[in-house]
Amino acid sequence: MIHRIFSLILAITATYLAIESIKPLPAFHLLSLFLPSGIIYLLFLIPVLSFIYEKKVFGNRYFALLLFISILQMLSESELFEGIVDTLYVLGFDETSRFLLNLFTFNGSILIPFLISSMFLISSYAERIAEDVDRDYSFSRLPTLVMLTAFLILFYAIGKAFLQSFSNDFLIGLIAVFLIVGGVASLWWYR
Amino acid sequence: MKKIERDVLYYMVVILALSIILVMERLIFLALIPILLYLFPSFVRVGVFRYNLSDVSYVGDEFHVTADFKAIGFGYVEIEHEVDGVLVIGGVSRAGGFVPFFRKFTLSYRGKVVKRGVINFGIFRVKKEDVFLLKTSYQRIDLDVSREIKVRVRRIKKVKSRRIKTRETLPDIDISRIGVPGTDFREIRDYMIGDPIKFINWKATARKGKLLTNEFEVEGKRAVWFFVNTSESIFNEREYLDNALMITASLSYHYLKRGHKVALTLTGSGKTIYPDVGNRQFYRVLKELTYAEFGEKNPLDVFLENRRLVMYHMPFVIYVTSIHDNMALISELLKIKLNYRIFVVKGLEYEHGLAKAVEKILERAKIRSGAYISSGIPVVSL
Repeated sequence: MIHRIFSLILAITATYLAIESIKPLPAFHLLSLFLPSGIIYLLFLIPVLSFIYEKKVFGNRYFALLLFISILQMLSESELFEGIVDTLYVLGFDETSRFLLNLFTFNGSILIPFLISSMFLISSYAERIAEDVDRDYSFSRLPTLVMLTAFLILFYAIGKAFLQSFSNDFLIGLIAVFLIVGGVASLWWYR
Repeated sequence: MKKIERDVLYYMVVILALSIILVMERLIFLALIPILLYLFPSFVRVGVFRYNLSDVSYVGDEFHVTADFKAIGFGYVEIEHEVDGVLVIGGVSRAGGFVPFFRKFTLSYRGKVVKRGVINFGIFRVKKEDVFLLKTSYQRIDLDVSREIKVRVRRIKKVKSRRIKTRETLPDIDISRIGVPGTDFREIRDYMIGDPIKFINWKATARKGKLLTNEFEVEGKRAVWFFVNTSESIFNEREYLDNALMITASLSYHYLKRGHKVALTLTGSGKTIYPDVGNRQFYRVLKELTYAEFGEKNPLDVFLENRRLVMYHMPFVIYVTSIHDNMALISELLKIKLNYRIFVVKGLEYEHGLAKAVEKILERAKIRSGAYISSGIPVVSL
């Protein structure tokens, strides 16, 4: 039970972070002209209801939704978004393209998506460990949660240092290569 | 795939999908997390440094196992004592936990043996998991501590007999048909080729006009032949088999101690031990019972295979069977006018009301046919 409560706290914190990240966006203000701004707080209900109905508190689809909300603040970084804006500009809708660009101001911080992702991972682990406790024989899996938290903090610290010291393109190239190797290794593992 | 692995892979797929669809390079940075979790080094080595097992020889014996393990590495370990045919009655047959570079584990429990045959008490199954619970591997430790578990033999003071009209009592007072002729006269009968000439009754031969010979009682007691129903059937289960074998072992000990010849036939495998007396015969029977399992053969077919031998010895037949037997073997015994006793052995208790009622009906039918119903040992002096 304590694992599920911990998971609920993480899910609510992640929801709060996601909402706070989109509040400064002009797009949010524009939306609040048509809809009551408080409607976004209904998101808090999802993990609470999942907790009550004994479903996974920080569900996979809920995580995808929160992640999408949290990356709206850095949407102007997206090549797809830039492409749409540029296309509109080239086609002669320069007013519209400028309006669209102003809706999603550039923020550039990856900290919020990272925090939400970390909370999802820790919450998933906590819930699966709680299921494991119900077996006829089990032992404490607390070291996993401690190690995971330590790993995520270390990952962010090292990643940030790398991002500042190397050029982005070089690092992303390295990550892409690593992902391909890792993907092949995963396939080999589950062959 | 474990749920945690599914969650982690889902996380990676979502991040990769979003970064590809929106073409956001920096988002790929987050997709590294699961890969690094998967590639996190995991190594745990487990070894036994002390093992102790108390004496155990018969089915139903209690034993005590103590084993100490050393684990070196980083991750989780779960050690389980993997012994087939054992019931844990005290303590835990498993040990485990997190190994932070070095840790000792102790496994200690009391158990009861519920199966016959050779049991290896030295097998341990070790489950190893990395600290992020994404990689699982198994190790099997075999110390080769095998023990031969024999069928338990109960001491029998008296063989109970119900007060019914029987053609013949149990074979305690019966005498053998074959063996060395004694001095007690039995009857005069027709001469058969092979009869000694000194036994020809010349006076009777002269009176009747055909060769007649004297027959004397032979020395030794009558043979007891056990037919144990070990034929496969949907109703025959392990508990029945164990009870049946225990009863057979106890009865064969009882009769061998009283000087009877004892023979054994297992209907499932068709194996037969020919009639003989003494301790060696008992160990032969016990060994056969220890390794007995259900077999494909039919009780009637097996009896017909052994019919000539059975007719030669004319033994008292004890048929150990289950309540669901159709008793085809008994009708064959009646045809050749052999005396017999049926021991119907119960297996698992039926819990369902209807099944219980049917069982009672079958029981009554068997009692009417002269069978002795038993759920454990039919002849008791425990």
